[in-house]
Amino acid sequence: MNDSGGRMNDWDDRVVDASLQELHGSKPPDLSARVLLALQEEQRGPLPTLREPPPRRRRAVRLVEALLAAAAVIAAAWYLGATMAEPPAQSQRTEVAAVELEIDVVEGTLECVDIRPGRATVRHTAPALATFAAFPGNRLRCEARCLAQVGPFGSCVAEPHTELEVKSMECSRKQGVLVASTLTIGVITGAVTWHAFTRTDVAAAGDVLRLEAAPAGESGAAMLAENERLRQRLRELERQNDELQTQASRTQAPAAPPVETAKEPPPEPAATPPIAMAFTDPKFDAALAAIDWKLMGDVTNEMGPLLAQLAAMADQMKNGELSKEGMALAVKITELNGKLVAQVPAMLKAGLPGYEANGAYTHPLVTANTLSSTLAAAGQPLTDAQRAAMSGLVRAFSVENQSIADTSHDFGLEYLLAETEMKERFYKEMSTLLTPEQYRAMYPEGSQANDGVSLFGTGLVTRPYTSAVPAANAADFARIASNKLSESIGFDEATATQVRGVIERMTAASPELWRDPADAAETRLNFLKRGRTPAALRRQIEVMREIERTVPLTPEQKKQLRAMKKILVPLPRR
Amino acid sequence: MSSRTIEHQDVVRLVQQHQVEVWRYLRFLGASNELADDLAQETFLQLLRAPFVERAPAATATWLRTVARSLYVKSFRRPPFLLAEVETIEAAWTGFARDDAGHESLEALRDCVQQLDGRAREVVRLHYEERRSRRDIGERLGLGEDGVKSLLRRTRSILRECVERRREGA
Repeated sequence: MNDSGGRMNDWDDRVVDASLQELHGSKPPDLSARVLLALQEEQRGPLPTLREPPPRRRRAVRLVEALLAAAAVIAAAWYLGATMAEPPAQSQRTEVAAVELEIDVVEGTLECVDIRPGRATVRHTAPALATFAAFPGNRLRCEARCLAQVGPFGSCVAEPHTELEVKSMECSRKQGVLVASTLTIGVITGAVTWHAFTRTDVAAAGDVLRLEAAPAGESGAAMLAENERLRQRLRELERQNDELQTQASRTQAPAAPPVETAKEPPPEPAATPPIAMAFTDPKFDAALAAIDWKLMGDVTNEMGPLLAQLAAMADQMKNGELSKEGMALAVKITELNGKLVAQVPAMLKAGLPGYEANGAYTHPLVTANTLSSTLAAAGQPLTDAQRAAMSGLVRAFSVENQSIADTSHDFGLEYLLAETEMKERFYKEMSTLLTPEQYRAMYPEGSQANDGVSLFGTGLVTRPYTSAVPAANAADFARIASNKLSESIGFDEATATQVRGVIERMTAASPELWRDPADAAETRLNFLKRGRTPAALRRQIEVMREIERTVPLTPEQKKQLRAMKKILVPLPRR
Repeated sequence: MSSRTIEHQDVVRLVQQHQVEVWRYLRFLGASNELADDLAQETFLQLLRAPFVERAPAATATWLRTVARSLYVKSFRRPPFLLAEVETIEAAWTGFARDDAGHESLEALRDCVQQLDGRAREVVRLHYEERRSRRDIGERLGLGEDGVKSLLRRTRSILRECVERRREGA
């Protein structure tokens, strides 16, 4: 082994570390069969299959994902939070052959493929109202980008060359009419962002989406509002793309001669000239300069207290519904959130490291600049001394952020946890530099108790992946969680029983998960108490390790377990 | 060995000869088990796609490591290590793997682990065998997370010296 001057360098340390891991279970596989198979596949030519790993996404896809994912973080599906705990339909569920879904094609062309005998493939170009038979095997295709509202299952944005297949559905009969209550869809090729009422999912080739219908009473006005919101966001995205392309073309253009080209018209000023960033990093400055930091500050300053107000309304909700004032507040928050989301493409363009879009949104550099602008908007700007102290924090935590992004993690959720813990420390240390007045502007009263209420909290990082599981005890939670895992990973009954045993044993041994009964903001608005999600995430990773260690899984199941993104958070019932 | 271009059957033979080293090398670089599986497979497929000419086994091993390293780096948006570090990486790896893909070093390490005692033995058991978190280990050993990190690193350093002694004596 290499030893320079007797000290062990990092790589010497790593080689011992990897060897110890191998001694304790991570054995080299026999790749002969895999390579042989791959060689045969190459001779046949590439064939798309459902289980192929998702292809690398292009930047355009990432931009759309970012917009929608960030929206899901900040503008939570509060008004439907309560319905999550309720049965989706009162009538008896039955497995049926086909259900007609109404699809509003908002943008692009959608092809509805019906595989049943005598049925044809029909193309619908926006704006159009299509009827699609939700029947196992039937497909939806988009050659170019496509945006559509799919019955009661929410809106989807499909990237070019996307093909979706109906895998199964559950239906109910209401007043003599057959309606779908859940729909399971496989992504055959391409990628799709599905904006449902309780969450946003991004799925690529090989992924499977399980969608639940919105409750009947909400499927009219709420869908229209949702459609309008998506349209607005689309317009914002297009505007952002245009700006980025203009900037890119200016950057790539050769340097202009000093006099002769002076006849060219001067570049048009930006619609909203960005203000200078308070905190900079040469690696990201050029791209981050495109962000309107003043707008970020103004909106954050306005939105913070509104979110706290909304959370406080949870106690007054009746039958799971917000009052008129609450709905008006929710609409206002959504509107403000759209403005924040419009800034996300520039963050992604900068290549900021982080766990997907919200990781970039909460990068120390972005957070510190947002805070600086927010405090300025609140009339409590940072002093030079505060700015200097904060710069040091931003630099140190940015390095840590990059280091986390560069580390290879066995489980995808380990990356999320590492980033969440790092950012928790960052928010805490940053807040200690503030005066009491500034602190109140950063954290308006009532904003700190629950995730998703504060715009300076790790709830922003974890919320898109959080799935609250109301449960009476560890056994109850284990039953629900193992069902969810079985559904997504495909365990057989024996495996599911073993998995359930591991979850129950380990969750029962975690009193911190059961100490605090869920409150109204959690059960009705899905604003989970601060700290609940990281604690559950920590335990979940340990559970996943234990499952991998003790339960016989197929390689594919192991792969899916490691790639899992969902955090199952126990929500103790009172 | 004279140089020659290779066919499919040669790829299978080379997989048998070099797969363990390629996979271990990828794990050493930091790849997860699954990523190491995928990249090792891809590395061997490159034997046909890239202009590879088989020469001595050591040269083949070096070629495969270079391809594997390149694929690993490409799996990140930003390089996980600096180009300048490659020499250090290679030195650390060849010092460990020598000419037997690391089999002998691994066996020596197994014996060295058996010789550990006290907290060093316990931390290896908890971290590598039971895969407990640093926090959990810290609670059991009465250490902070940083303390656990330091203890693990010190233990690995002891193990590395032990492996070296055994290999030198062999």
